[in-house]
Amino acid sequence: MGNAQNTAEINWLREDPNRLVTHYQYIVEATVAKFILRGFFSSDEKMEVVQEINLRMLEQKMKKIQLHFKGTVLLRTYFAKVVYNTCLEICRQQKREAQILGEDQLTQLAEKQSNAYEQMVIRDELLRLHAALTGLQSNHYKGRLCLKGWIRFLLNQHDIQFYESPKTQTAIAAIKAKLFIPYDDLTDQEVYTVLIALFNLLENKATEADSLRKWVINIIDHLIVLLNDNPPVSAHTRNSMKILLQYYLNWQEENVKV
Amino acid sequence: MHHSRAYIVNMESIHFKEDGHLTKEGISWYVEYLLEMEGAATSQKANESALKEQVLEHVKQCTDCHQEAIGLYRILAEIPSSIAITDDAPPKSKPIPWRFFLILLLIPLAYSLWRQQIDSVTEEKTAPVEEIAPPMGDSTQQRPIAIIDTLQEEKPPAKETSTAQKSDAPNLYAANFVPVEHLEAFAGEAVRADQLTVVKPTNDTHFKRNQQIIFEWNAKESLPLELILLNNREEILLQSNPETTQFSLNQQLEPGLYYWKLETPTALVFLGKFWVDVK
Repeated sequence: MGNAQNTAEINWLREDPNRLVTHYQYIVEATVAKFILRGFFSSDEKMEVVQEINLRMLEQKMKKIQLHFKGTVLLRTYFAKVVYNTCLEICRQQKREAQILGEDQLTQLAEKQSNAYEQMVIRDELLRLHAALTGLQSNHYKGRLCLKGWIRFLLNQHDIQFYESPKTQTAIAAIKAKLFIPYDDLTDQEVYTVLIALFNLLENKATEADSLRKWVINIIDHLIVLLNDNPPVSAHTRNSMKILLQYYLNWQEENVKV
Repeated sequence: MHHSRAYIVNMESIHFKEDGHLTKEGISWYVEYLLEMEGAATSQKANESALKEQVLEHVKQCTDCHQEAIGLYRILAEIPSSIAITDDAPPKSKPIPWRFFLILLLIPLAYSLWRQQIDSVTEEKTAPVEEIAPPMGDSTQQRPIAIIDTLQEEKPPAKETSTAQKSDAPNLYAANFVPVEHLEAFAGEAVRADQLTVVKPTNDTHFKRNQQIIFEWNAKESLPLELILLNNREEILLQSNPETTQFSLNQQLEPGLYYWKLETPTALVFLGKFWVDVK
C-alpha cells in the first residue's frame, strides 16, 4: 500500500470521516463475514450488522480514532482493529456465541469431503493457527520439526536443510532413516529420541527425550489456549490439534509447491 | 538503525498501555509486522529493532494480546492491501442531491437519444423493423424497448400516442442509467485481489444492444464462486455458479447500467459494472 494512499486516507480521517468509513466498507464487510463464518451472526444479518458498525463508527469511534491514532501503522490496519473490536462489542451486548469448532467437527470434516462453507471455516482456523505459531517465534524450525514429529507427519529435506553440517551428520542420517518414511508405529519416546540427538549436537546439551516431549506439549497447550479464544470460537483438545496441524502442514506444503 | 532514547520512549507510549499490554496501535503494528514478514523479503518493521523486540516478546508472553493479534491478522490476511482511492468518487455523505443531479443530467441525454431514434424511424419508413429479443427482467423493466417497438411498427404513429410516449420514454431510459451509489464505491475492485483478477468485461465497458456479453476472470485457487448480475435497481437478473472461469450471457439486456458480482458463500470477491448502450 502506497504512502500516498495512506496519507490521503489520513486526510479523510481529519476532514471527512464519513467518506473514510465509506471507503473502508470492504474492511467492515470482511470483518462481519468472518464473524458470520464462525457463527456469531447468520448470513441474513450481514447488512444489519454492517450498518450497526457503520453507525457506531460514525457516532463514536471516528472521533476516538482522530484522537488516538498516532500514525505508526497504516490507518487501514488501525481502522480494521477498531471495527474488529466493535464487532466483538456487538457480540457481547447481544450475547452472541460462535459455533464452536472442536474435536468432533474436525474429525467429521477430516473423514468426508467438506463443502465450501466448511472449507472456509477450516481456512479461517488455519490462518489463526498460523498467526499463533508465528507469535511463538523463537526456535521456529525446531518447533516445526517437533510438531511434525508429534503428529507423525513425514519430514522432508526442507525441514532439516538448516541443520545439515558435518557436526550433525549422524543425527541427520538417523532422522532421514526413521522420519522420512511413515513412522506411525514409533512411540513418542522413539520419535523424540531421534530428534533430541540433533538438538543436543546443535546446542551442546545432553537433554533427555522426555524433556523435549514436555516442551512440545507446552507449545501445544499454549496453542490450544490461544485458539480457543475469548469469546470462545473453538474447543480444541490435543486430539483436535493433531487434526488441525495435519491440515496446516499439508496446506503449508501445498503453498511451498506452488 | 539506532534511535534516540526519547524516540524509543515515545514509541513505547504509543504501542504499550500503562498496564503493559499493547494498545490498538501496538496490536496493529504487530499484525503489520507479520504481514510484512510474509509478503516481503525485507520488513521495514524488522528494522525498528528496539520496538520489534519489545512487541514480539510481549506477544509471546501475553495470551490476551496474542489472541487480539490473531483476530486482526485473520481479517487482514484475506483482504487486499488496499482499495485504490478514486478522486472522482462522489461524496457519500450527501447521497440524495447527488442522485438527483445525475438524473437531471441524464434526462436530456436520454431524451436526445430517444428523439434521434424517432427521427430515424420517421425518415426511414421503409426500413425493416429491427428484431429485438426479449430482454431479461420482468415486464415493467421491458417498457422502454416495448415503446420503441410500437413506434417502429406504427407508420406513421398517431399524434396523441406519440406525444404521450415521448414524455414517458426518456424518463424510463434515464432511470436505467442512474448509478447505484453504494455499489459505485466498489465497482471495478477485486476485494480479494490477491486471489482473483477479472479479464472482462473491464469496468465501465460499453456494449451494444445486440453484443454478446462474456464474463471472464482468473482465480489463483478454485474458489466456489457465484456470478450475480444486477440492474441499477439492484434487481437480480441472473445467479449462476459457473464451473469454469468464463460465463457467456446468452440473453439480451435492455439498455442501462448493470453491476456484476463474484461472491463466495460468505464474501464479495469482485464487483464490476458495465453499460448496455441504447444503440
